Amino acid sequence: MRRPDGFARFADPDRGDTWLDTITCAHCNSIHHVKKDEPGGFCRMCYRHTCPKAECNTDTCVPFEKKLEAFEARERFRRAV
Amino acid sequence: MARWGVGGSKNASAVQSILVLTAASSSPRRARLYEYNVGSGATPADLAFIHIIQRCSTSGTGTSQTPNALDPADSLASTIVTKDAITSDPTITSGAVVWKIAINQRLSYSWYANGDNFSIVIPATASNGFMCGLSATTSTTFDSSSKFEEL
Repeated sequence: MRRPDGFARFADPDRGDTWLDTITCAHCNSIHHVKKDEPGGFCRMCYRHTCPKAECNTDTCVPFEKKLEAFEARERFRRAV
Repeated sequence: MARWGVGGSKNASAVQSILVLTAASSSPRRARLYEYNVGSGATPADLAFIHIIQRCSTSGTGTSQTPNALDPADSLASTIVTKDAITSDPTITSGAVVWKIAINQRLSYSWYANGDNFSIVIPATASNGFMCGLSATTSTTFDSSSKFEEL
């Protein structure tokens, strides 16, 4: 990938190190390994990489940051009542 | 913001967790996990294990670790609770697996985020965070380390 979101290293005692690029899904914050020169998923609304899951590749874009804010607000409310 | 490193080991207890990182139960703050390393220090064996990082809502029972400030000038203590030598797994959030891979016990694995926006985030919610470990309980020992940044 031209600009991967991360890197993964598999240290094999027999074959040596193998490096893979990773993407961090902008919609669910999960990490996925991609092969070299594979573009991975991409959201044209937030311009970030997405994972292959169907719920992360719909017509609507809900960035993970928004989900996190909603989760934190819900938990604060739940603990306050 | 302050960056921290912490190591953890899984003992022979039949649990999933190697290392648990959760927000503090009072005054929780967000944190970003940007590096994770895992391997087994046990006698090499040709076995496959499925490693996962999954969200959890409790911190489990284990030995509390003191994260090490990567910058010695940082004087504040980390608010992220880190535990290893887990004897009772935390409550993991169903389906909230952020990373999963099957690797042979002989291999060691490392993941590095390529910038702050690509790390995985611990929410600022009491005792919520990540269980770094295996998809099923095992008595095999593992060792891991991770680095995180408090926000």
